[in-house]
Amino acid sequence: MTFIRILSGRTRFAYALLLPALALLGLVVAYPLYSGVLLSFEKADFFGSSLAQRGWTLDNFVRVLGSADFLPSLIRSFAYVLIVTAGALTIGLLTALLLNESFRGRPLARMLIALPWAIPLVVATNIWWWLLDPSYGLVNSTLTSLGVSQQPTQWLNDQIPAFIAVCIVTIWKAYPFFTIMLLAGLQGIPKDLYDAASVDGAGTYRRLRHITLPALRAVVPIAVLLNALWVFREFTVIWVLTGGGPVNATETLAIATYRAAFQDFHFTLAAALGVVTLAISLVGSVVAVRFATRDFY
Amino acid sequence: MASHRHLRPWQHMVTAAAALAVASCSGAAGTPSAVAPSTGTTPGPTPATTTAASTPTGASVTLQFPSWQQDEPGVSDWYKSMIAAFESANPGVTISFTKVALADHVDKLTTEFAGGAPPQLVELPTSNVGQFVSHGWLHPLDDYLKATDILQKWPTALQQSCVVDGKVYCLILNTYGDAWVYNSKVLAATKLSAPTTPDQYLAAVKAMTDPSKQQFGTCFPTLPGFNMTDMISVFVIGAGGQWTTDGKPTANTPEVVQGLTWWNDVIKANATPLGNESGACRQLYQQGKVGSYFDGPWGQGFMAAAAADVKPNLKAVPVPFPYNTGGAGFVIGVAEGVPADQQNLAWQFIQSLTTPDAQGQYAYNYGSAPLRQDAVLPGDMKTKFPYLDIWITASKTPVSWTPIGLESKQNEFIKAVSDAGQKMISQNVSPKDAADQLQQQLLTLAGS
Repeated sequence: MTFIRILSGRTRFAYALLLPALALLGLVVAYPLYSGVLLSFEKADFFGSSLAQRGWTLDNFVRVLGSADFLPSLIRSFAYVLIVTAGALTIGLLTALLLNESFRGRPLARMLIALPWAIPLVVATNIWWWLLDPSYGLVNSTLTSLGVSQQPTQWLNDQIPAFIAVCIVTIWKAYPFFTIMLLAGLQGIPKDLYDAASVDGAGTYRRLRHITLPALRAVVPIAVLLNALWVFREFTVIWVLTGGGPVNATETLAIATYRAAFQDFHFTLAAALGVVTLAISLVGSVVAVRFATRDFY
Repeated sequence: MASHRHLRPWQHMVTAAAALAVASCSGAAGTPSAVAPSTGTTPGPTPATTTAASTPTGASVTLQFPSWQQDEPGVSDWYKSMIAAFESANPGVTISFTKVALADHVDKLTTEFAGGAPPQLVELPTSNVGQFVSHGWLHPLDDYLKATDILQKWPTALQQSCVVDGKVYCLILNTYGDAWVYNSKVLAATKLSAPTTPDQYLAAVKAMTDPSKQQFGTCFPTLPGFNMTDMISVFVIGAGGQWTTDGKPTANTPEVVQGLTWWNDVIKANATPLGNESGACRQLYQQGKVGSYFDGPWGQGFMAAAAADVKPNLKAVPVPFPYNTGGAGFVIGVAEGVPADQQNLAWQFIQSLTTPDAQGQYAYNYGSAPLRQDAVLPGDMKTKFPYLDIWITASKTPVSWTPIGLESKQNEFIKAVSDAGQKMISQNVSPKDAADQLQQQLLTLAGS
């Protein structure tokens, strides 16, 4: 009975409209995912464009998880996600608060703040590569002329500066997403709340702490979740800037997966690494969704 | 006061999966990205081969030919003229000659082969031949070659780079030896003459360095990858070392350590800018900001394309080490897994590159010795390439850095050598320790 009701009238039409999108999603997400998971359990070698299957095994996971490089890559990935998400969230919040105010030139400010999002990632990263060039780059030139540093910093050749550099570039690229999400959240806060708080004598800080930030709790978890997932599998920024070096200092799980598949030709190991990454993402997502589904009003 | 909309565990899972799907459909950091690979997808079973319709006789066919030399001064003109001649002689056939940076070339080819969509014409650094053959990605050329005199006219010893288990999988397309290109004006200011020994070389590059003017004595590619390994190998081979001997790793012999020490001395003297690829290094010496660079015969094209005030000062001399790197630099072959008619067309194009006239034009454009013994050389070669003899001499006694025994693990070898170099740069690891660690890595690689 229920089934018949679902398949009748407007509902059926709505499902019919969804069907192409679902089919496309199945083709470009579900099938590759299925193939990847299958490949991770295959005892297989890769010849030409076909796979020589030799049965099933857990060896790929044993090798991946037992590898000396896995844990450092995992820790690096978490550190990268944490630093980038925190940095982008902070800058995104500040810029959203700024854009939520009325001032002259706000349309221009909106455009400038959203600019990093609009520039193609490879182009932006290459520009940063030049900016960070230790000998001829603007960053070192500025730091040296301001007296902040005496020696040029080897941004992409020393391990810690290289990690900082990829974090900075990723934050720069990611913060407009938070700006837009948080600005939407800010504009949904009833003005009455601020008026009432002002009548009660609340200053800027107290209004921020007791009205603005709690109101944004509905937006922040989902924005953080999506951003964290993007950053967790970020590839372009790291690959273009450092290639995962120096000496693996910026090698995250995404880079390790690419290297295993397309440089070392260990496709089954890469698939296992991909499945592990997926599992971590799924667990993180479940935890984050629990936060995201809370109401605060 | 916070309240919960109570979701059941399965609802959490579904919501999380939806979030993952959204994240995976969108680009990194919120932008669409075509670069990041998916994690572990199965290669497609059906080779997609051409951009144009690859139908039987009469229909148009496009052969893909990605190359790092597509915009390289000199040699690209030769390729383009050969392509134009081939297309004119074969109506309906187009060769799509596209640029891929050398640093990305092998990775991109790998991705294309893995995805079942390889280019029909495969240009490769010679050091990657073993790897590609072991994966079954190159089509044997023996049947084609039987009907030609190419192998009789081609350099026999170097052509062995293309032979695996008695089958020929490619044709070498150049022979090279390195030379030292330098800015004579910058060197003259140091009152030193062009070096002929390693000590003189180290003194010269250090003397040519002036940090206050952002002037460096030389430029080493130091981004991990082929070019970095190639430059380190110039020093290792130069000192008489070999990465492998009789198929076994020998990365910590005194000769290798000596080579690494020379390389590291230049780094520690800040005589090279760091973080560059070979393209950026050449650009810097073309602009006069870098005093010298080790380069193959293709370096003459870059010398000719230097800034007007720099070009007259660029000169070349033999490498100031006991031995110089070189060999068969790159090869061309036909992809396995594409339709036979396209393989035939790809071979016909390769064959067109091997005629005496084509080889003469190759030498004339490239500034290099031709591969074919009976090539017809234009008369004004020496006028066009005043340093041609330096490179021709260098190409007669080169030592290849290809790690025999590890050919099928070329990329892992390249990463290991790059890492050794980066450890010396960023962790101040001594050349001896770096060599010992590298030796262990290579032994593991050889045994895996």
